[in-house]
Amino acid sequence: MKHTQLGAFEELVLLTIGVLQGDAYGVAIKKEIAEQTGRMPSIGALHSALSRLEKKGFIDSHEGGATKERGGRRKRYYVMTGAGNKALVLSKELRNGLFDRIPGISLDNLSIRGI
Amino acid sequence: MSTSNPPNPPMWAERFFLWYCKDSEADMLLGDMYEMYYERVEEKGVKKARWRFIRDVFSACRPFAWKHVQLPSYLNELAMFSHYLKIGWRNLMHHKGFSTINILGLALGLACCLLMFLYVQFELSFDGFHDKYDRIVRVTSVFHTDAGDQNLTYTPNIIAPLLARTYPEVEKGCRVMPSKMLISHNGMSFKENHVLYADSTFFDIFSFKVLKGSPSQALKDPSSIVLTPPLAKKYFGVEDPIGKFLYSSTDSNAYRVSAVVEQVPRNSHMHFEILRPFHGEKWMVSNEGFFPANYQSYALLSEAGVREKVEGQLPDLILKHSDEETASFLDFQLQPLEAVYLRSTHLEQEEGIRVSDIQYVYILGGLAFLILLIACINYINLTTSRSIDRAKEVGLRKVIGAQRPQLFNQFLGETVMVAVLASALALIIAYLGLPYFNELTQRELTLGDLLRPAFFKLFLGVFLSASILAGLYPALILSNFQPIRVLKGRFGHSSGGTLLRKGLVVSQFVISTCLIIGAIVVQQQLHYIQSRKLGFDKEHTLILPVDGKVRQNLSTLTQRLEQNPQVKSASVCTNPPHLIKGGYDFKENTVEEKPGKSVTAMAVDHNFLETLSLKLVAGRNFTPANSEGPGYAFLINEKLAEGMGWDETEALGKEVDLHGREGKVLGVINDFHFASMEETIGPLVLYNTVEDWTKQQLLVKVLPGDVALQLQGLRNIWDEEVPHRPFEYQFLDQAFARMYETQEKNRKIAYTFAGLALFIAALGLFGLASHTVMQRTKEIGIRKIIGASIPSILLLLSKEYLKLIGIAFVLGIPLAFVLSQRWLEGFAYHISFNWTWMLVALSVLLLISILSIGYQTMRAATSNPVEALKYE
Repeated sequence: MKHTQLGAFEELVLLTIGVLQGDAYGVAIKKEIAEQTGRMPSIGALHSALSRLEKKGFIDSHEGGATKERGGRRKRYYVMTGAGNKALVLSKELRNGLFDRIPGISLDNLSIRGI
Repeated sequence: MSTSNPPNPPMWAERFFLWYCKDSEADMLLGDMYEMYYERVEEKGVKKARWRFIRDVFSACRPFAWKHVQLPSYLNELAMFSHYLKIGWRNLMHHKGFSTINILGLALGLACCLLMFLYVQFELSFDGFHDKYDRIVRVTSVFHTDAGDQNLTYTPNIIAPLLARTYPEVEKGCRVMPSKMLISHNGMSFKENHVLYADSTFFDIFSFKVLKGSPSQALKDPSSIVLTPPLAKKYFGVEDPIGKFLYSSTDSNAYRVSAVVEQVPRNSHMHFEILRPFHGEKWMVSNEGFFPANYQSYALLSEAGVREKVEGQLPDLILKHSDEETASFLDFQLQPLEAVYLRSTHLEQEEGIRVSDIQYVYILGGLAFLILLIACINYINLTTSRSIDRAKEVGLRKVIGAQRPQLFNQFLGETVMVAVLASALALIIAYLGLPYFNELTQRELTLGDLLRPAFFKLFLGVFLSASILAGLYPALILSNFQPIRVLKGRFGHSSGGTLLRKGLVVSQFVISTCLIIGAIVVQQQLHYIQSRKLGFDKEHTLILPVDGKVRQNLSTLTQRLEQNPQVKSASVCTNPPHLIKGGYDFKENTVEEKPGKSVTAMAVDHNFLETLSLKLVAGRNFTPANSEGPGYAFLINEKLAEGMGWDETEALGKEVDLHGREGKVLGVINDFHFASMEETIGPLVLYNTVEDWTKQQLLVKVLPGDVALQLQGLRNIWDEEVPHRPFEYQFLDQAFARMYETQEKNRKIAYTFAGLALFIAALGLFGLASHTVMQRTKEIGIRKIIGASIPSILLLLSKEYLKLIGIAFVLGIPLAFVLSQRWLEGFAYHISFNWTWMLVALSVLLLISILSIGYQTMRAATSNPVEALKYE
């Protein structure tokens, strides 16, 4: 079965959008990622990824509320689409599958063997 | 939330952002950035917040946010390439007539440029083959006289060696002198006209390749001789010429062939076929001094930069090696080799040296550019006027979704296609026209010269610029059509567009007018010069050169010649009358020291005046008794008498000194032209042939009659009296005509370019007229039905164009007038601008125009209206 490529960072953004559940707009996504990974993505990188995700059909956007802090400009909220959902699940399955097939890998067993 | 008003983020960053960002993203992104900014103001302070904001602006500058990404359409262009090619080709084929006109016009313009480039490239390449090109200089003399400075290439024999041994910056010096030789070989006599005497340092300075023998030794032995391969073949066939001997006919010298040097390349200002060592002729090297100045001198500098420094020290050098008097009027200059060929028009030069004028480079360049301009104008005119035909296509394409840049590229591409075809045709035209062009410019250019990389790049550049220039405007116009208006059929010419087109036609014809008048002016001036009274009779006169051996037999020879019934008179002199060049000092021998004058002078015998039908204004001629002395006698011309302040009778009997020769003035002769008509007649002195060396030419005046027979008779006498020298002659009137070769050349050039310009302009007019007629077919049909007569229709159609021609004419005349006046003033004797020429120019213009538009308008006027209106 064919699935569109999902880059690492894109996957991260998509996951975050899923987590934020309807509250996912630019600044919020940025902050959440920073909190979770410890690194703050630049606004350019983030919106680039968002644009790509939208083009691939994994997210949809709609305009939302404007606030004074934004100088009266509206926010753009993103939500995951069905395709986006599917893409995340597939990715997780792939990773898990591979992970499980590595013999002896687990958090308890961190000794280096024969490398 | 603080209630104070925090400062705004940096305005310039925001402006920059809004400039690059696409509208659909801008609002949202800026909102995000503002939100973060205010948060950061709270957390980290204004400065950090502002800095972060700027970083955000630059961070967001990525492809997803950019306005109007070009990439997709670029990729689209590539895919559309074959389609555009097909459509463009079809368009050309469907309108073969217009296509031919366009292609032909451009081809002619390009061919002109091609040929002109060949010429310029050749001219500029002169002497470039010498390895030490930038270090070689030619020494020129400057004589300060009361009439101004005289610049000459003639230098004395002292200066080159003196420079070499005085200044360390001058590595080597070399003297040369062109000459002729008579060689006797295997019993036959040969005249070699291209002999060059040169110092042994010749090959150290100049890079002429020595094919056999040693360059450094070739000119050491005074009796050696160096040949070029054709001459080696001529005298020795396939045998090795080194070590063999050639014999002189004039004296009994034997010359040993020491080397063979390659043939002089075409682009060399020096030309020779034989080299002889300079010191081979004792008289040339024996007295080292500042006079006489008969030679050309060159020097090799250690580096190009020292030229001015050395030049500046020359006045002191002259003073040191001569006296104050000499140093006061004599000076030397060092002319870099690169200036020798093209920038020596101010110098009086030796005949054997090739020289041209940088002006020709400019003129031919300018003319070719003009022609190309006219051709481009044609293209623009024709294509834009036909744009209406393509309007539907443009409208439809836009409806389907073509962008303006795409359409622009499509039409520009069509121009390039035409230009490519035109270039191919241009190459053919250039090839065919090359012989004529070579004759016109007196060069031997070949298309092979084209293949040099520098030249090729230049031509490519011109080709591209011309195509883009010509194609720009039509492409703009065409891509601008609005689909709605086009498809509804409600569009017309923009008034601005027609005005431009009319302006272009006018300028084409202004250029043509100037060229026509220019051609007429040159023609008339030349005719005037050639038919102007010279002051002596040049018809039926032969010039026979005389050398040392001939002089031994000279009196018998002259006697026998005069006895010949066909000969009216024969005379001995130094130079032929059109080439009297000797510069002498002249002053009156009185008690008080009066200043002298510079005059031209030569020696003649008592028959000179009669042979040339010169008149004595006062006094008397030489007689056979005093023709060869003893003692000097002088004849001066009216100009000199006037210059000395004497009237005719006063001059007689005056004691004068001509450059050391003292004697009396015997007579005054009428002024006659002894140099080119471009200069006024100067002061002239004729003195008697006391000195043997002055007898260098025999002038023989024959009666009008059978030339061939006369020549035969003269030849017989010559061969009997002076068998060592082949009979060789020149007709005086032909020699004169050759002086005006340059002007002839100018005339031909003017005519050729005028003709070309006219042709192309006419071509353009033809195309335009055809198109107009096509446009107005329906209108003409209706008019005919209403009852218009054929003449009235003709008038209607041509009226517009005739008006334009008229304007062009009116504008062109003053311009032509100014330009002609300036050119004519370069001649001492010239015609004045004749206003009847305007009529000639006008009639030519009208004729051409009528021919161009006539055919189409006639056809339209006589066509059957039914045909025109059938599809209504």
